[in-house]
Amino acid sequence: MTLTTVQALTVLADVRRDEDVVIATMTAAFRWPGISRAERDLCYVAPMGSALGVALGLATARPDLRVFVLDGDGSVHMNLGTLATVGYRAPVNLVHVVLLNGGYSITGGQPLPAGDGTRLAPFARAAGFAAVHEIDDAAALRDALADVPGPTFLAVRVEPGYDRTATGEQTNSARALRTQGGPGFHRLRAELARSA
Amino acid sequence: MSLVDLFRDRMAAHGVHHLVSVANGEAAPLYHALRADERCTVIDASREGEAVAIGSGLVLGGRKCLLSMENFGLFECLDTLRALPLDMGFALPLLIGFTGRPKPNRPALLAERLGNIHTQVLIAGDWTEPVLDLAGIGHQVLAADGTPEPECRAAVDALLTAATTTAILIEAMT
Repeated sequence: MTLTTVQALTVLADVRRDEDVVIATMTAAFRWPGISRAERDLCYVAPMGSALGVALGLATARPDLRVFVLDGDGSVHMNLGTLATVGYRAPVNLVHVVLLNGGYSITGGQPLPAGDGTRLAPFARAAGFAAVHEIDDAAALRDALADVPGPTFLAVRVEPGYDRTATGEQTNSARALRTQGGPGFHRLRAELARSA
Repeated sequence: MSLVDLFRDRMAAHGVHHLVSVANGEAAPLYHALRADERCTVIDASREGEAVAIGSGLVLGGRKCLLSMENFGLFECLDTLRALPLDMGFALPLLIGFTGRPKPNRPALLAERLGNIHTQVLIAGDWTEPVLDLAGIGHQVLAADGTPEPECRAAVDALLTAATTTAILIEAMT
């Protein structure tokens, strides 16, 4: 059975160590604060497609840290070139988790410009990612998250749909407020500086 | 001191050891010099918005960096600039090639350099400084016809130490 977004993110929350960094964007940016149990999180929603670039910069600056990106298939389509850049630079500490729901859930379910997202994994493989997995269940996701060295690309099929009525509650929690946007950036930068 | 050497000197002095670059004709001499400089890591980006994202990640990880792009690319990355350094409030120094800068005799000067395509850069030249002003990105132009070295040095120092995102616009670099 296809995972829900929450189920997929819960697997990552179980596997992720306190010292690991998670950068979450779009649907994951709303849901992750309610699931994460560690502090090194940054959640933001726009511009779509930028989170992988931020993660590449961070993974380059801090090769001692493992950096996870929680991304959407719609976002990845908006910045495919970054897959090539990451594949070429090959940061071993970067894990790109892409939630494949086949479209733009937050904006009302518009479809991807290129089908259901199944072409992304071959694209990442061709771009040079060291490990690429196409995932449909929790056990496979758990195994793949342990696949090092990276860069790792995990295409995780999840159920489509997004409950927009929950956005306010999700983005106003205490954890969401301290991990989102500018406050989240500065808090995480200070936290990482303490461990440099 | 050439502008390239000045940038290298001030980058080293201020601990800026990363260049994130997208194709930038005006800054090409600096790009090649930094690629050959073992103190510096050069990251080539696919597009300007990606460069802004990578630079933001470097800053998040405690590094200082310089971003290099043309003014055409500035327009491409405005949304990423808005959302990351401007909305989130951190400094990302920009070195922007300034093609088509408005000035006396511009059409003839551009035609001499670009031939028939010079008419395609006029709007970019007209938009560059107003767009930076609109975005609240402070900027200084280092002119091709000889900005004095002390002024260049002060501008580069200000760029690399600013607490907010600012830019230097260059017409040429030697």
